[in-house]
Amino acid sequence: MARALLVVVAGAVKASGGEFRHSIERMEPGHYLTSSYYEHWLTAAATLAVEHGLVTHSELEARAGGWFPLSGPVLAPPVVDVGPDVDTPRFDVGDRVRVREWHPPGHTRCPGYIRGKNGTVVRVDGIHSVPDIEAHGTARRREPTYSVRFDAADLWRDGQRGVWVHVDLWDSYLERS
Amino acid sequence: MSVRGYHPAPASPVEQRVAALEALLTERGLVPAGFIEEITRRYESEIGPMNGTKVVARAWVDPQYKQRLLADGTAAIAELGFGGPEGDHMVVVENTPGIHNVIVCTLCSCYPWPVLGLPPAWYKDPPYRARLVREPRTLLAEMGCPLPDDVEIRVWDSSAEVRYLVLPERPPGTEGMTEAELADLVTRDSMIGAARL
Amino acid sequence: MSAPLSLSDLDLPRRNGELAFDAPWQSTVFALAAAVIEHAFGGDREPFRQQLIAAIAAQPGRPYWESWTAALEALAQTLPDRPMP
Repeated sequence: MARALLVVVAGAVKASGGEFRHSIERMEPGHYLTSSYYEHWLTAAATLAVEHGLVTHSELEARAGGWFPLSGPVLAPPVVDVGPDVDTPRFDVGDRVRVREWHPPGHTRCPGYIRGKNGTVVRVDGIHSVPDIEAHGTARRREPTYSVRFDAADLWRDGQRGVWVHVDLWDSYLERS
Repeated sequence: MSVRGYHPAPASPVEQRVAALEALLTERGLVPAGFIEEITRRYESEIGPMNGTKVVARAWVDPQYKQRLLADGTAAIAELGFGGPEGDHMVVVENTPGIHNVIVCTLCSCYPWPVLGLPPAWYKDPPYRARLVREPRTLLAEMGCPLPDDVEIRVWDSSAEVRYLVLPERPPGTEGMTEAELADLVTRDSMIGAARL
Repeated sequence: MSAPLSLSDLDLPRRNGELAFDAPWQSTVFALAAAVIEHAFGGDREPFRQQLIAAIAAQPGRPYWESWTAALEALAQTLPDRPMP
């Protein structure tokens, strides 16, 4: 049944043999080592179906009645131009900034609870490699980092009084308020 | 699996996975002989909050050291011989009667190893990491650190490269104590900000 | 949840009343991550940290050292693409 599913998915996404093989290779090692050959094919089919937008991971889990592990993401990303290093901070202590409201598909170190929120720069820190870029290939871009202070009342509907939350953020996470 | 201690029970699934990792990584030449024992020894006994207590005590007795500590935590901490991984960019935040600082890493468990060792389990667990940025006054009270409403709370989320150390207030009645005696008063939790002295 | 007392607990020094590790496998997997970071990534902690953040986010209820183990497994999977010592 898993093999039939795979054939259907293959037709739908026009995936190559290499892509199937790679999606099996991308299985989490603990999962791969402890599951059957059948399950390898099922995981490969499901992973490709999710990645090509045929079904969502949560739909799969709902149908499976629980945890449905998929393979890990593609580890060899396309080469992109990430732009030059930024060595001059765009912001200074006291500046009002807003955290960008984008939700990147991959790795980021911008905590979710501050997305779209306004804060004040309280400290300008060193220049460091942006994790969002570092995670996805060999390209690197270095940027200034800042400590940005948020009023808890701005972060949460039930924010407690007299509470300030400081978060350390990369330059490209921020825009001027 | 190599034996480091007495194992009366069969290996659990996670122990098996760790054993598999150890075999794989050793095979790849990434684990020199004695490396695991050395790291374990270092993080269990040598590196620890004792380093941080010395920093705090020095700041209490030496106002100029305290100024340097607050201006450049990394350099001042290095003056006492401490530094290294997870402590390359230190910022020290000072508690006052009106301000209470507390540290968290909402994304994982970032923590200032060179001055505090490895983080306690509660620091790494979801409830602390989620609740501290949301309801710190309530959470701290539950943890045994109630704070009056007029005390400002500053939460520091270590989401980038900086690692934080809280400089607790010096307790009253400690005038005349030696630096070593003062260091003995300082607790790990007070340097995280989960307690006051 | 405290681990049952074992022989190895009795001689480990306690700082601030708490051990860094509840069981030997935890100190082992911690040290293995340190080994990989130092010897395969030249001391760059970021790749492992990213896996750890992802592992924690994937299963927030999972005990910390199990997430750490999952993170190291995921990182180990990327090793074939890297030059080895």
